[in-house]
Amino acid sequence: MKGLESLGREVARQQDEALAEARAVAQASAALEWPAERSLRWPLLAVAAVLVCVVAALLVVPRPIAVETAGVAVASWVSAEAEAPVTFSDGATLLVRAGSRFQVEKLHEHGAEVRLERGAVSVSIPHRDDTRWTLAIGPYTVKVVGTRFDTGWEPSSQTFSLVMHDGAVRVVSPDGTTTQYVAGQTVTVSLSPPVAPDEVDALAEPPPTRAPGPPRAAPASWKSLAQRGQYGDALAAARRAGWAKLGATLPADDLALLGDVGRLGGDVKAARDAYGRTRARFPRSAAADTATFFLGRLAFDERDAAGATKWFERYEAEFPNGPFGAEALGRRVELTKDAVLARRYLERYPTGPHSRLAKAVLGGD
Amino acid sequence: MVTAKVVQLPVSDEAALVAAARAGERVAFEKLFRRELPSVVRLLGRLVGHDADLPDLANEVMVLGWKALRRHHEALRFGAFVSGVCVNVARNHLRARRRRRWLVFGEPDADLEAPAREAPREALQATFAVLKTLDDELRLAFALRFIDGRELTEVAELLGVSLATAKRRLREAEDEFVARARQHPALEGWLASARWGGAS
Repeated sequence: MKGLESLGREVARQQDEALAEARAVAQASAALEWPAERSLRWPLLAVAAVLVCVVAALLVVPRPIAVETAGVAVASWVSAEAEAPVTFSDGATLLVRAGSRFQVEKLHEHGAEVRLERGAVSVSIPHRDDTRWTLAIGPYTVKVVGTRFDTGWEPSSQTFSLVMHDGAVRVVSPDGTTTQYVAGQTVTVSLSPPVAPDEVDALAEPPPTRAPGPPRAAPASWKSLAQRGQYGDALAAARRAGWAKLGATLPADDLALLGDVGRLGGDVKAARDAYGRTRARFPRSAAADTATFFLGRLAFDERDAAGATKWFERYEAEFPNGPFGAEALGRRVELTKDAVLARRYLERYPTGPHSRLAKAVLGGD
Repeated sequence: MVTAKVVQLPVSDEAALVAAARAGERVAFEKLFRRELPSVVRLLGRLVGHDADLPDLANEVMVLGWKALRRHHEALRFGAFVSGVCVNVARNHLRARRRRRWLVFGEPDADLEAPAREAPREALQATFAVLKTLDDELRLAFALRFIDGRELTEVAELLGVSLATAKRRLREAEDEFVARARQHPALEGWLASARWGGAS
């Protein structure tokens, strides 16, 4: 006999007795009544009129979008000690990498202006006709109208990087020339000659800016290349160093970074391998938290709905208070259009980046 | 498992009443609903406990069910449809009750067993005392599976989640219930008896 099932049967039996004694069904039957619909008509009309006025006012007076992430304020520099998402009320998300320094300079009704002084950021901005986002990445300016891409600036090597996933952006170089980049393109531009890793670490101040030059490969360790945002070169360097050996010996955070190198360097298989090892070797760690989310992201980007759902569900189960909780649940809503998930999302993140989608799933509730 | 006393309507009768209700005949809907009322009250009791609000909740199920049926265009079995509405109403009620507890300090627990009877129903009281401490979604999953005796697929369907998610919630609910039930002497005998029923 199974304990819980036996207990459940006994509880049901006792409850049926109690309900019968209380004549609960008869009471419920006597209490059944339909609401008076007519009496609701005028109050509802009054509420509707007020709502129309409010909506009209909102339409007439444009309001800037808002930052939804605690601790990030307009015109304040933020140094990210760990990788963290910054979300905005228009649905945009900036996933700021550890060690980055950035500032939200200005918010307006169609987007924002963000400056990245150093580090790297994964950008996801929903496309609308009037979207207008500008990211100042070091001396480069990236103009966005709705896209997903990774970008970064490493002052010590004067290196700008851009990996396009979706859509298109226009990049204004320091010399004023504008170039459009589209999905699938990867750009790495160094404004200074390559330097040895030791020299990079010893640089207290960035070197003087030079004229833009062609992409270069710096002879450095995979990690320092990754930290500069040179993921393609970092991937090649990691392979030369022995991918399997790195996977078996690196500490947690470096192993997750190796996964990032695979992902941003364009080798999905390598990324999965490193993230999988992170989870296996350091379960329940912050690095495993990141790895789990990005395993979902990899599947999501490959349009593998079942795989993505599995990983995002696992993320929610294993890291209920993790930093990517909103993003993981939001992407599950995106994948499944499930009303229960949409409701849960709105309860937890009422103004989150997927809140509009969740409301749409619930039929505008 | 307690067998639910379900009144099985002739298919043609139920189908005709459902069609009439969808066409806007409220009398047809009420007739269907009153036939299901014993099941509705019983299921609400399983989900929220013995609550003075049960008649009001049953009424809410009727009103919401009436609105929902007219938006629902797929073939359905009325009993299953109303069970789904019961779960939603119970979920909202549990949430509202939790909010009230925060707002009104010291409000008595409403979901414990009704007082004053010849034989104290200790298992019932202790079980709902433990369920009260669980997360609402875990509580609903537990009540549907173990007290109402629903199959896993039904639990998943009524909660509106995948089978895998339902399994996971049940495992979690079972673990938390067993851990907390150990503090209740009335449940000791149940905890000690054999192994626990699995959710898979």
